[in-house]
Order: sequence, then C-alpha cells, then structure tokens
Amino acid sequence: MKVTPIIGLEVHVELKTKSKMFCSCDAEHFHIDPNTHTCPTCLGLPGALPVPNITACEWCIKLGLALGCTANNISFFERKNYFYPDLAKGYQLTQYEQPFVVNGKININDHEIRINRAHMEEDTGKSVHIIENGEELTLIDYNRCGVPLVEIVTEPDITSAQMAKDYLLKLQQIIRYLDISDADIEKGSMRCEPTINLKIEEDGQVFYTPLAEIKNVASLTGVQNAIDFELKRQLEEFKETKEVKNSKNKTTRGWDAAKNKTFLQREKEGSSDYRYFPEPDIPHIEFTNEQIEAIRSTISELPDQKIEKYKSVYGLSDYDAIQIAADKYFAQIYESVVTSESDNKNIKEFAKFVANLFLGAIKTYLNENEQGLDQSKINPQFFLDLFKSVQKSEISSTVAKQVIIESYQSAKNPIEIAKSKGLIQVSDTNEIERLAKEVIIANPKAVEDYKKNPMSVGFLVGQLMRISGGSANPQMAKEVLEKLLQ
Amino acid sequence: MISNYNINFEAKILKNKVKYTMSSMKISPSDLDHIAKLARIELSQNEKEVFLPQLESILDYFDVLNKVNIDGVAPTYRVNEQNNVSRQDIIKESFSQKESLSTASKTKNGYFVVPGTIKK
Amino acid sequence: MDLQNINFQQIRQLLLNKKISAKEIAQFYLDRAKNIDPKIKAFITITEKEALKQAEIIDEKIKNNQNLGRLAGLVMAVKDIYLTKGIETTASSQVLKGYIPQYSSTVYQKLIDEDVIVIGKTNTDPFAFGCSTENSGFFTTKNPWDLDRVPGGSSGGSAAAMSADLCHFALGTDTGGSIRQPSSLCGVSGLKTTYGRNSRFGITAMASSFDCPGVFAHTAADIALITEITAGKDEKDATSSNNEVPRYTELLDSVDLKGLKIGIPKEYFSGSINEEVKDKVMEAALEFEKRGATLVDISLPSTDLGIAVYYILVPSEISANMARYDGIRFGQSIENTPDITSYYMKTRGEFMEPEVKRRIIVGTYALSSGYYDAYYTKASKVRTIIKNEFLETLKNVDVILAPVSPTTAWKIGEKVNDPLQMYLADVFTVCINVAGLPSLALPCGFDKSNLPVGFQLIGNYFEESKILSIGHQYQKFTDYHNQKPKL
Repeated sequence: MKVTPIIGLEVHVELKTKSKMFCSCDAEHFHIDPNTHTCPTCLGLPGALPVPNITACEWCIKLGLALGCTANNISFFERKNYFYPDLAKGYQLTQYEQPFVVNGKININDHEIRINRAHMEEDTGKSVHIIENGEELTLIDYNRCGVPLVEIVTEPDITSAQMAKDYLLKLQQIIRYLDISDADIEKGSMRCEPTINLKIEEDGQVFYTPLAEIKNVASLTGVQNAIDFELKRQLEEFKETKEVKNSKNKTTRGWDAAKNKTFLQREKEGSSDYRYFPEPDIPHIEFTNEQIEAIRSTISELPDQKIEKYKSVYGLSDYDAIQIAADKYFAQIYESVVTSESDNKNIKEFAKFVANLFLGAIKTYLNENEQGLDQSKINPQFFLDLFKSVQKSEISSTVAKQVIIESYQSAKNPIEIAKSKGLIQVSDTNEIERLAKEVIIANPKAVEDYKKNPMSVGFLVGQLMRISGGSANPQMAKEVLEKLLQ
Repeated sequence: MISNYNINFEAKILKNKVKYTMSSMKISPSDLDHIAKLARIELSQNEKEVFLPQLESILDYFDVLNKVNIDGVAPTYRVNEQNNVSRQDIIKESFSQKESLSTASKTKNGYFVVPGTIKK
Repeated sequence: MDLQNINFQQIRQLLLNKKISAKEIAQFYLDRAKNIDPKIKAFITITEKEALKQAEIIDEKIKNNQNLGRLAGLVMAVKDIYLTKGIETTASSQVLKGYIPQYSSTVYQKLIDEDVIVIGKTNTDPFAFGCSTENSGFFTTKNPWDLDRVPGGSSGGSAAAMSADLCHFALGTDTGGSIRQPSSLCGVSGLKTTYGRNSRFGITAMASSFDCPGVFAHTAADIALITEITAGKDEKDATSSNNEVPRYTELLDSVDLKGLKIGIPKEYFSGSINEEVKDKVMEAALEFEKRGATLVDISLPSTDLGIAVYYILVPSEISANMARYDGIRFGQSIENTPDITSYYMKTRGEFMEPEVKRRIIVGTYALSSGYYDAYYTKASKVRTIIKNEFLETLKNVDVILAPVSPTTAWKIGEKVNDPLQMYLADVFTVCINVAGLPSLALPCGFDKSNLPVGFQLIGNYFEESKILSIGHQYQKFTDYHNQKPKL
C-alpha cells in the first residue's frame, strides 16, 4: 500500500489598511470596545451601500504579483449568500469568477506549490458564546465586519505537514516583506485552512479518500498537528469503510487543539449552495497593464532575491543569508551597513564581518531584551572602523562583538569604548613575551604536557589570554609561546 | 427502412414529451421546503398550500424566455456602468457604540445579542 | 388663504414677503392631513413634531434675514422606504415596525438641507414589492379619485398624498414602474430618472440594478426643481453617476416640438391595453403632432419578454438584499428559539408579508444551484437584448411615447389572489427599468368613470432635461394636471 497525502491550503490574510474594505470605518478591531467602529455599511443596515477601498485592491494585486500571479485587467465582486449572525448583510462580498490575480507559485525546497488565485473579500464580525441564567447567548461585535481579507488558494500540491508549515512561513515572510499585513497567525491576521485527502495505491488500483476541510487551526503547530492527525485518521477510516471521494462527501472538520484531534463540524452537505452572483452595487474594476506594472514596481526585493544576493555577492553561508533575510527591516539595516563599504575588493570580508556582528551579537542581545532593531542606533561608520581595527589585529573578534553591543546601547564609537576599557588588543611583541614568560613560570605542568604534545599549546594560549584580560592577540600569543618553549 | 425509423423515433419523442409535461412540476413541496430553508423563512402549512400553485404559475410563465436566441449575447449585470468607482484608504467617523446599538432589540455590555448558536 | 392651489413660486413669494409664516404653512398641511388622510390613508406616519420644528427654524432664519434653502415654504411627503433619521421608517412592513434609523438617505438629506418641511412617511407595498399598496403590512391606501380603488404602487401613498394635495411634492422610487404607474392612476406627474441619476444610499434596497429614487408633483416644472437638487454623484453610492446635473429648471423650454420625432411603439398599444386608455394616450400623442412633432411608428418586439426578465432578476436581487432583515441589529424579532436556524426561520417567517416571502422564494430559486444558468444568466442576457433594442430605436426617434398602465385604477381586492396577474399589469413599465432609461409620467385625461389616465415620455440615458421640457410644454397646452379629485 502506497499512501500519498494531498493537501491544499486556503489562507486568509487581514490587510492592515487604515479603513475597512467597503466603508471608511477604522479597520482596527483588536482590543477595541465592541461596536465602536461601525457604520450603516458594515452593520448591514437598510439602504447602506458598499464602496471598495482602492488601497486594499492594489495590495491584493501586489501580493499576487509577488507570488508570480497574473493580474486580471477586469475584475469584479460577487455576493456569497449564507446566514450567520456575524455576517451582517446575510451575504459576504467576495470574488468568484473573476478575481484580481490568478496562477502563481511558491517554491518550497525545489517543490513547486501552485497558487490558484488570490482575491479580495470582507471579514465577518466576531461572535462570543456565553451562558447566562441557563440560557445560551451569542454576543456579536461588528468591529471586524468589513475588514479587508485577501484569500490565497493553492492547488493541492502540498504533500506533508512539514511542507505546509514551510509554505505558510514563506507566505508569511513575503506578506511581511510587502508590508501589507502583520500576518500574525496567533492574532488571527493570518488564518489557514487545510483541505486534505489521500491517494492510496493498492494492488494496482488507485483510491482517493473523501476531502476534509479543517477549520479553526489557530497556530502553526496546530496546522502541522491537524494535518498529521487527519492523514492518520483518513487512512484508518479508509481501511475500515473503503469510502472514496465524490462530489457530495466533502466534510468540514474543526480542530480541537486541547484534545489534539479533528472532529466533524457540519453534516455531509456536498457543497453549500451560496448562490453566487455578480455584485450589482459595485461597478467592475479595471487595472490597465500600465497600472499593474506600476504596482509591480513598488515591490522591493523579496526574501528569495535577498538570500541569493547575500550568497553570491556577499559570500554569506546559506544559514547566515536565510537568518538575515528573515526580517525585511533587519535585512535592510544590514545592507545599509554593508553597502557603506565603498571598496568592492573588501565587500565579501566586510559583509561576513558585519553578518557575524549582527547575528552573533546584536540579534542575541535583542532577543534577550525582547527588543526590535532600532535603526538609529546602527552607525555604518562604526562597523567600518571596527572592521579596520580587527584587520589590523588591534581588536579581536570577540572584543568586537562585545563593544558593538555597548556602542548600540550608548551610541558611542566602539573603538573609543574598547580603548577606555583597555580592550585594545596587545600586539606588542615585547608585552606578549613578558606575559608569555609569566604564563610559562605559572604553569609548569602545562609546559611539560606541551613538550610531549605540541597540540596542547591551546591551554597556555588560553592562560595568556586570561591574564591579559582578553586583550592579547591570540595568534601572536601562540607564536611567542611556541618560540619561547623551543 | 429509413422512413420507418423516423416514424418510430418521432413517436418516442412525442411519448417522452407527454411524460415530461405530466411530471414537469417546476416546484414540488419538498423543493419549496428546501428553498424556504435556504432563504431562512418559515412557511406555515397554509402558506405553502397557497404559494405552491402561485409559484408554479410564475415559474411556468418564465418559459417565455426559452424561445429567445441568446447565442453570443453578453449578460447585463449592471446598467449604465461607470468603471472603477472606489475610495481612498481614509478613516471617517463611525457610529458611537450607543448609536450602533440603538436599534437592536437585545444588547449586552456593548454587544448585539442573538439566541444561542450552539446546539445543546 | 387657500394654500392648496398655489404653486411653488407663489408660496415661496408669500413666505419671503412675510405674508405667511412657515409655521402657518406647516399647520395648514398638518390640519389637511388630519382631515383628509383618514379617508385615503396615504400616511403611515404624520411627522407633526418634525414639521413644526422645521417650520420654526425657517421662521427664525427669515426673522434674522438669513439665507433660505431653495425649498423653504414647501412641504414634502416621503415614501416610507427612505430612511429618515430619528423618524420611524417601516417600509410598510411589520419587519421594520418601530424602527427609528440612525441615519438618513442622501436624497432625503439633500432636500432637508434646502429647508423643506417633512409632513409624513407614506404607505407603500412592503419594501416596495407590489403595484397597488395592497401588500402593505399595515393597510391599503385609497385612490383619491375613487376610494374603492387602488392608488397604484408601490409608491401609492406618495401618489395619493400628491393627488389629494396633502403635500407640494412627494418622494417615491421606481423599480418596475412604482412612480409612473401610481402617477397615472392618481392623475399626477412622476419622474423615473436614469438609473444612477439619484443616489440610492439610505433607501431600503429592492433590486440594486433597477431601483430609481424619484419625485411626484403636479407639474414637470416642479419635478425639474426637485430633481435638480436631488440628482448627482454620491460618494456613498458606487452606482451613482458622475454625469453633471443640468439646470433642469432653466431648460424647460429647450426642446423645439416642431420636427420632434416621437416614436409610437406598436407593442404598447395592443395586447392587454384598455381601449379608453389607448385613446387618451393617442390623444396626447396627437397634441404633439398638432404642434409640429412627427409621430413615427416603431416596434419594440422584445416588449413581451420584459415581465419574465424583470420577475427573474428583481426577485434574485431582492433575495440577497432582504437577507439582512434578521431582527438582530434592527427590526422585530422572535424570542426564545431553540437554535440559530430556527431563530432566523421564525423571525423572518413571522414578520415578512406574503409578497415579500414570495419574491424572496422566487429569487432564491432562480439563483440556486442547477437553476442559475436557466434563469438568472438567461434573463441577464435577454436584458441586454431589451436594452439594445431601445438604444437602437432611440437612434431613429427623439423620444418614445407610450401608455403606463394597461388599465385605469382597479378595485381594491380585485387582483390580490393572483400575483401573476398583478405582475402582468407592469407590462408597459418594466422594460424601461430593465434598460435603465429615464421616463416621465404625465396625466392625459380621464376615462368614462372619471378615473385618471397617464402616459409616459421615454428618453435616452440622462435625457431628463429633454423629457421634462417636452412634458412641461405639454402641460402648457393641456389642463389635466390641474384637475383635482373631490374629497
């Protein structure tokens, strides 16, 4: 029996526009008093009409283009009709036949995941269920109703939970790079719904299990666990029932994170009859090829392009390149420092040096203090000065990492800091000889060991470093010791 | 041989036509129940009995469109259309919470209230 | 002072010259409403408090020599599907009984901003679904010309109020004839504008691609003034037109009747049309011919498809537009239901009137899976055919003249049991809505029972100034618009 998972992902991304999709209410809905950002349109009051937010439409196209999609010149909205209390109008404005962008792709480790489409729609309100005096009540807050969402739908090209996670992380990174959404899965500004089934090959026959769409997966680990659980569950169920996929047995399942399992959410209904039809209240939207290219030109370098550049132009390792490119802002500041080196001969060395400081010192410091990188505290000249000092062996790389943190905190020149703390590396041969002689006298056993095994010189070098307070040039220390101990 | 075949063929079609007409009810009682549920409108038994023949005659009337040649005709969804009507991403004043809730029959702590959505 | 029979300009002069106060005007109409409305029941709500308050503001402005709005001194009745902030708006349906909106319709607000006085909210078929007001969730309005007969609909209350001189002008909407038909049945003038000319924001939506807010008055000239104020782009309505609004009042004599080519569509003068109606409408056409116009025989062969197209597309849009009426944020609701689905079913089932339910069901059916192409898509394509037919025809004639209703006002109760028969009475109005064209309805005579007959002048998109001018001149050489019912 050969089992192949078939997974498609539907992701909803909340755009961080100032106003809502179809009205001018403030789109902020996190920690806001209920029903304070509402108006006739988003409340679905009688006679209210929608007017689309042009920025939201442009950002949807921008995202589509960044995912390699083609933008449709003509696009329009449609009504998706269903009843639920948090859906004020009794229909959701969305796109169906003619979305803004179609046919893109994302590469995950050389596996291509095709993007079927990305379209604009509006979010619903939020409902809270409480029990009061034995009565079940549903409370509704419409602040979120009408906030713009982009829905991105993949083809079922994903074949594992890990790949799904990688896809989501990459999509999230691209979205954050475009600065159109916080794409925070825990906060709900990025929501994922996997649709899963299996291809089972047995005795020369091929079977497909029924499709299951999983809802309410509120975290990245949740997505992975839900997929893993569902793959197992479907295999077990198939072994028992032999039921295969048809047009009527797609189910909707909820994810219970506490119990770590999916559960049937709605009866088998085939597909709900949403009675889509073109929205009569909004004329169709046209983007000319010129306008689409103008949007494309606002897309600055994307993560994959940066990683490629760091590897080929700066000579960074895969790991370092990925680490730096992870956050657009961090990457931009890194680049602003690297590009301040006007001498191209040195660019690779300097780039690696700066990467080392950024990743090995600054990032660690920021993580410990739960801070973000503050651009105003990064002075490219300081890095250039430090680099020169290290090349002249005045400062060791260990010391460099130390003083750059202090420089970040105090805005002082790191060279000055090193001097004031006596951290300027001693490369004076006489001084090192003096220290070396001290070390030899103080460590007779180590000297014995060295005479037997020259590789053990490291201990003596270490001792010399210690008594010099880290300021000795380690390479020189080693050479001097070896010379004295001949 | 060929003419015999034609006669038999036509007779078959005629028979089917008659069968079709007899069972061509456009909206059955269960259809009506299904549509009423989709539209979330409860109909009394009396209403169903009154509506069914009325709806049947209305839907039958629509058959007049079957004779129209619509080949190559594009649909009109919006008359007199001006494209690209949109608005800038600017925030304007919303209702206050009080204004928002002023027309609701049931509210609680700033929320609209509906009876429970989870089956007990 | 007999305020009933003086025109807009006269009343304004009296006000500006301080011969009469706004309060006196308001009180006159409030008293008139109290005396006459019980007979015809045009009003759902008489807005006494608001009227007197508005009058007070006007009188203050006059006292302080401040600028007055263009409509100061005029009294307006408003179809109860227009949302009016702070004033109960029912749409003549139990669904919205007691609903006090937090905002106003754009058209209404524009008129208020010009210092008009609101006298009341008028009866209609519920949510404008109907052509007689008999579907109203409250009561049926009576035709002032014969209290046993319908005023037409859906804007029957506004037409009746106009006919009985309970106001100077009245607001209505025309989705399938709902201004023109009651105008004709009640002997007043009414304008359906081009789709998109007036903003739909703040008016309960019936069919989004058909609804046209418009005005009733006694004359085309009065309609021109009001339309000049209401028309124009509204940033809150994406379907409202960018086209500049002409000064209709200054263009009333702009059309030269000599040489005017008037199309007479044969399909509108045959079939179900009553002979007397046909004769009176032809008389109107001949009046134009006497003054130099040319009557051109034309054919609009797709006319008989209009009802089917209309009654597929309109209920489809209705079914979605009515989904918001769930009693949660506004409107009446049912308590103590076991779950959300039954809450919706029972609330909507309890308060929606039969015609409201019928149209939602037809629309839901037409949009549903398996039927969408056969009904909705097909009707949308035939819509294109009907529209193009008009546009082709209007290349060869300047305007089209036709009857509005196949009959004069029928007796209350006569057609209520057969919805399809009621729908078929719209045959001469719906195609104009399907195409989105403007049309002006004017009184052109009376039948043997002294019931009003009306006709319509249909123009191309945004040709309101043309049809208003033709209508204005017609009303210079006829007197039907000045005839009033005896009440």
